[in-house]
Amino acid sequence: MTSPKFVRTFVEWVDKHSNPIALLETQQVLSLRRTLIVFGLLVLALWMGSCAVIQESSSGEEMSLLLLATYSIVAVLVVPAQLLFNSANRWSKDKLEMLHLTQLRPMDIVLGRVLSGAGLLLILGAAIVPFIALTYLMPGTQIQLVLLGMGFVFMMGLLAILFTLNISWRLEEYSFASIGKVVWFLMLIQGTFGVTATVVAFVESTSTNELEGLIEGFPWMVGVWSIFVYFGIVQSVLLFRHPESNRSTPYRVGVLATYVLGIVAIESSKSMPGFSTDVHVTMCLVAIGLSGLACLPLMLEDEAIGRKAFVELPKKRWHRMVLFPLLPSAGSGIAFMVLMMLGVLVTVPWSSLSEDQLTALIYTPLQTFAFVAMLLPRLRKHPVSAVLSKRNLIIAAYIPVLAAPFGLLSFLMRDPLPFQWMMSNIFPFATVIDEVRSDTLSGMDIWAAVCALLCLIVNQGAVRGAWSIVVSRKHPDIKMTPLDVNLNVEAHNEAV
Amino acid sequence: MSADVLIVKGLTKRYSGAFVDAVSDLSFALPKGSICGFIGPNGAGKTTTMRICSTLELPDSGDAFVDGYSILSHPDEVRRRIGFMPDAFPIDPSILVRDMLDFFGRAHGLWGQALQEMKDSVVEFTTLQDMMDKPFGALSKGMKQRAALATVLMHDPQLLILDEPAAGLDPRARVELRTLLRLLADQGKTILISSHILAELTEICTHAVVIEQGCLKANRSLTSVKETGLSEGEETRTQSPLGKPAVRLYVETLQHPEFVCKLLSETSGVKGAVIHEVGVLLEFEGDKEAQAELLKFLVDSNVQPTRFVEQKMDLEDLFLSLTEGKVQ
Repeated sequence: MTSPKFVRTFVEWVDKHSNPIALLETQQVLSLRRTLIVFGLLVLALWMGSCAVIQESSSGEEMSLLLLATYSIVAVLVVPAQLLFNSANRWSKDKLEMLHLTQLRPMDIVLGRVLSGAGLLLILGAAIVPFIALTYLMPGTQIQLVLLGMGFVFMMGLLAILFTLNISWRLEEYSFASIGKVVWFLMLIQGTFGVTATVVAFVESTSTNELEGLIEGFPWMVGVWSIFVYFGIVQSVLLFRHPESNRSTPYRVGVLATYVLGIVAIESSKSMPGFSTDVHVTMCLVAIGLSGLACLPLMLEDEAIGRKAFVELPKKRWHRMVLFPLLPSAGSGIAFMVLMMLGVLVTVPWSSLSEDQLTALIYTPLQTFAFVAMLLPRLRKHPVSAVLSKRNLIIAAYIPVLAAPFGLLSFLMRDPLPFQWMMSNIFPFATVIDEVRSDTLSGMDIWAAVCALLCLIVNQGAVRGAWSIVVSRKHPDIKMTPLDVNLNVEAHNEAV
Repeated sequence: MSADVLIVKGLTKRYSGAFVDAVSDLSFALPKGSICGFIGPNGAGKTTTMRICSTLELPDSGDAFVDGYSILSHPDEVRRRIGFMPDAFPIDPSILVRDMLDFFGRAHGLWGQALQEMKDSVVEFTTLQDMMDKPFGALSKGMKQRAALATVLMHDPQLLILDEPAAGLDPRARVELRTLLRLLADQGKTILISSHILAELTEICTHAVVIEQGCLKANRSLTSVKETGLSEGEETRTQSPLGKPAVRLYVETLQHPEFVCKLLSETSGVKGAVIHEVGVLLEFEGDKEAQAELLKFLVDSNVQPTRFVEQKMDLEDLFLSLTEGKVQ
């Protein structure tokens, strides 16, 4: 029996550390009649479904599918949609401003919203618990698999809530509320079916002896999920912060984490059941290559960072020196990419990953970084990249635009040679596929290292400029006023 | 620590796409416990300045200090010390007043007994006891302003920045708000308040800052004496050169004003005296005791005073004399 003192201490701890947003949101959601109706409908649907399953087959497997499918619809569709429609206006831009004046940090606000969504997911999930107990009693049930599936659906639900949060703030920002809501609603429906199908496929394709394999692969899935959640949180936090705030650092950390996870995935996913070598190679290629593409926006950053980002730099000089590659501005972005390349060049040959096929995959993003770092910084100063939306367009159109002249040349010459040359010498993805087939590297690592070096030389002015602003705090527009606690009216008025 | 709760130094802000500065090299300071009327025509830059001082906007140049902490380098410290109440308080209308106060208290780091005590104290101060279980959206305009004020008081800020708090209030609600602000100033809180209802500000303000087109037109104590209008950009004279507080007194007597004016001009502590309407307007250095002594001196000199009052500047006159109604 719990002592009253322990209970009191626990309650005090919860009271002290509870997130105000989560408390308020949960209070609001629970007071809605709609929540009660959803709970009732969920219980009704499960009861009717269970009756049908028991009458038809009494199969534990089918019952498991019913539970997972129902919960996935609730978690990925109903709850995020409810949060979207109920609270898109609650935390509009102006209302968020009031939160900025409190001691809540942007992360607290995002976590508060996600926690309240998680609370709702758990409350609705409670409706399923009695049916899980019923399923456990039925023949052919793999209860671990059901629980694993429920956990997976819960995680996907949190992800959907996070993106809902993102969208709801965007709706306020861009004032296309009605269209945006409809589009997002359709996406959620599609997502629900996707998640449901995935869960169903897992359950159907996994027999008792494959369960262990699935559990082994679960951490890998959690890793990918974490990366998505990370970017979701970063995006949500940045959405309602000052537009001049530091956007790069969290993205760079995310790119780094994605890349590390990619390398880990190459190793761990080999043990996943049902993955052929071809699928494995393609997945790794896509996963790691994406981290290279994620670096594209960094290359179009301004050299002189925004005022807010400048104000938010670490206070100590040595912190700024150590963190230089992660701090904002285009010049430090180049340093970031070059360091990533060097890191890969050093670690890969010494790791257990250096089989020809996998090494080629590792060097693919390396090439991407090098290639991007060589060319894109030059676009920064072009007038067309002055506006953010145009920069995004550049990033999206970057590879197609580069490919177009070679394609046109091949078309005009009626000779595939120019296009083939481009595929072999410019695009790393194309090159690596060739190399994987031929099992040789053809000096890809050296090519990438030379690109990195050239990139550094070509953009040395930008790197120096970034160092001056970010580390030495010499911003061209901003003079930081030292903390002056001795000012008074007379002295101030005399000065004026 | 600084004697001034708010110091604004050379603030300049231009919004992207604008051709002129919203705020241009603006400087002023507010001593502790003062109520400062922040006045100017529409588009003068009042809200921008208030938002910058509240850390919601960043200046292009310059800085502002709240209790010695810079809005640029120590925004968190500044936020702990300010309570900003915008024109329309942005809160979900479905939230109960009780939940709203609870939420903002928690958001400022209060919990448990401290939260409850602060909530009780703020509710009692703003007399919101009967409104606690009502949704914010169901309150009258006056009550909404009270609830908003209660919200910004939840963390006991030293500086209150109120943007048009009296807008849309009926006369009774305005009087009630004025009373609350006076009480807050008596508690030592400093208040920067913008309003178009200048008569309201004259009643309660101890200072006035006038801006137009983002530039400072005047910054002065309303208890200081200055017969002529201030020249453009002229600064505060809250104290006399000797460092004693200077006040403007208006004296009416049964005797001829010329005689009283001459008598007062030669009296110690009087820095200047002029005939104004049927009485004498004088600048006097001294506290309440010195003022009582002055009154006694008049009586001892066989002068029979019928009126002896401290006179504040009329903000409406000041505003109209300094501004031209230009907007950005």
